[in-house]
Amino acid sequence: MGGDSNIELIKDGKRLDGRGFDDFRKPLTLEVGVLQEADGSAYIEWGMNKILVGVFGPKEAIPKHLADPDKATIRCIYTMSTFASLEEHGRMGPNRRANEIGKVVREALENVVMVEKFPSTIIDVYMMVLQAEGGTRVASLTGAAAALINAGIPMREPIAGVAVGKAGGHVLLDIGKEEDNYGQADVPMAFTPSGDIVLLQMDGMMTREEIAKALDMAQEGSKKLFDLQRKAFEKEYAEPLGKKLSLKEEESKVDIHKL
Amino acid sequence: MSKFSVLSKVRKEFITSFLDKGKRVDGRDFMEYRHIEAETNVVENAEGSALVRLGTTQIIAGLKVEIVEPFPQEPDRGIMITNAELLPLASENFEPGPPDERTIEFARVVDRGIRSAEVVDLSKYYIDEGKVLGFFVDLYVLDYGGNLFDAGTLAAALALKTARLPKIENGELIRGEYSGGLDLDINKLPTSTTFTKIGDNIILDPNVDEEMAYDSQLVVTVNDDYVVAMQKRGTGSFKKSEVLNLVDKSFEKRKDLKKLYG
Amino acid sequence: MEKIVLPGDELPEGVRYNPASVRKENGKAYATVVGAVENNYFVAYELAYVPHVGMPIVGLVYDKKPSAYFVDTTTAYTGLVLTREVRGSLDVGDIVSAKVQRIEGTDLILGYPRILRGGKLLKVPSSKVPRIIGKDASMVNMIKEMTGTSIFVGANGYVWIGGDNVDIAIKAIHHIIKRAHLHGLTDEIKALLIEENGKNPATQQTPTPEETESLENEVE
Repeated sequence: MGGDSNIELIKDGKRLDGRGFDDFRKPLTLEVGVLQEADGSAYIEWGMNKILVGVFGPKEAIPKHLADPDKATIRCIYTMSTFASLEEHGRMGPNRRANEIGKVVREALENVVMVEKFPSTIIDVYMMVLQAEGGTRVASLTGAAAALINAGIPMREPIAGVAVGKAGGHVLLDIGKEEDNYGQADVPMAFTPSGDIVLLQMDGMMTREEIAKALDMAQEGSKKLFDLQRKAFEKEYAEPLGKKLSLKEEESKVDIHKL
Repeated sequence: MSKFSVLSKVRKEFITSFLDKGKRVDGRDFMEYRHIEAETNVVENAEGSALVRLGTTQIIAGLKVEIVEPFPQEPDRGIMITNAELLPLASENFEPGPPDERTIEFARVVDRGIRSAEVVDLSKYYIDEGKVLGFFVDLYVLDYGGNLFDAGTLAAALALKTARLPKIENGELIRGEYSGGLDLDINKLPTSTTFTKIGDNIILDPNVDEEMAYDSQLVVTVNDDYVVAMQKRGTGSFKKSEVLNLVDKSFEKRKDLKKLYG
Repeated sequence: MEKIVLPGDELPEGVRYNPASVRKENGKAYATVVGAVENNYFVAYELAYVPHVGMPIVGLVYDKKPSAYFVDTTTAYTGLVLTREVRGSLDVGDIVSAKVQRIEGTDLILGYPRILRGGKLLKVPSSKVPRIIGKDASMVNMIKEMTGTSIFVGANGYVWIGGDNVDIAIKAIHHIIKRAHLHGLTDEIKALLIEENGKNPATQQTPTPEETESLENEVE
């Protein structure tokens, strides 16, 4: 968040990339069932974000001390590839930021996953950011909810999230990287369809009125994301199961058996 | 006995009952690959990238290019390092945490193949005193369906093959602007073939069940002219004649695998 | 194709369902998993394994202690066969079919154990088990009859197959898993079995009455 800057983030009522104030980035696509070994999986492309989520469980609690006799324990791990950003080669392994994201996403999921049905077990949610362009935590969360549904883990409702920000003096849905870097505030949020806020973070400076607007905007946005999740499952069951991950359509595919 | 070892034993009996009849669980011939596909430039932020699917195994490789200090013993050459992570989302048997010995083995065997094949002429990437280009190839296993080595080598080689080099101005990288690729010689790009021995049977390209049941494995990496890396894995053993046979087989299979390089 | 139902969606009144896939609130039923309503029944397309008493289990003995045999169920739950329940003894590596008698945390106390000798053990997603069994066991009976195999389907996701044409039965079951949610599955499997039998003429056997009987017990 650079605060005031010379970069003009809003011009003629449009954003840098031509979006309106309440438009999502493009593309915005979600697929489920893209991994064979995981019990549930999802792949989300959101702007330049490319994120893969895999879910395992409910499974035996190893080590045993992780077992909670009243409910399943959810573990959420967020990882970013070393080549996720255009800048320098990233480091492998966990860091403070990844840890925090794992925690807030887990706490969001605990609102809706019916953990009480699976006492003493573990549910693992792994979020892998292959490429990042800002807003990865809410995109990961939206994918994680779909992967959990794909794993058949009972949930009261889905959840989905989007970051609203303030840049160039305006409240904007789904802020992109530049708007985040040079804007005045970033507010990642996640909702249930019935309107509960299950994730809320804020960094920057906003008035009470702007916060109110951001909340409304994010809730409206979440409706589009619930649609996206529904469409992913409609597509999944329209054909036989067992498809694979595809990051790019029909690009340099070679089939050894057709050679 | 642990649960895992009992499961492996039952799995092995299952696999062996097929092999002894001259069949494989998935209906393939002993020396037949599964379906292989590759997509390249899948991560735009990387200088090179490839997603390789070998059966149900899915591996992504990404290349980042940096300006780094050279190794002290080779002050006028660029550096290249291949690393890997077996992501826990790829298999219930992969745990989060620091790399274990099989992760390190995987990364090192792929690294040796790429390095020994002299695919990238690192002497071209000296920039200035104490400044050379560093090539960092990182492999992530996304879905583990057996045979990481062959898929990993293909992915790493394709990431390099399709790489774009960032522009360099006044000894600095200009990110997002590119000045051509690495101009790699396809004949030098390595291909890996993994042979698995279960009992007396030797099969190519083990799937996840076959890999769980193996006694020993031989990874043979070749390019057009040379064997560039080998790794014998597992507690079992091979005979001299078997090794030479498999080296021949590896050169033969290369003809097909190489087509993925264009 | 039927309309996809997602967690949180209200089910129409009068629709029947498996309680494990639904929650009730103020007299209304809401789906908790993905599925679709077919013939007035909410079919869960994916459902993590939830044990209940009476459920048939197929498992693998992986350890023995003085008081119990430990049975892998390929789920979060460990099966326990009490040694006093068994005449003679079980060995590590034995495959057993049994029924859940009691649930204690993640331990399933299993009763009526029975050893399945020879044969193959197959792992399938537990949510696809109802489709493998079929309505009134029609699917599994068809596979058994047309391949001459005996088949035990555990609700936990292990399937045991014995007999000569195990490979064809496995092929049929893999096909069911991939296409469980599509229509005309029974006809498709029938066609597949006829084709496979044509390649490799099967000895048409009928399962022994004993096996048929125990399977019927497994169907809810």
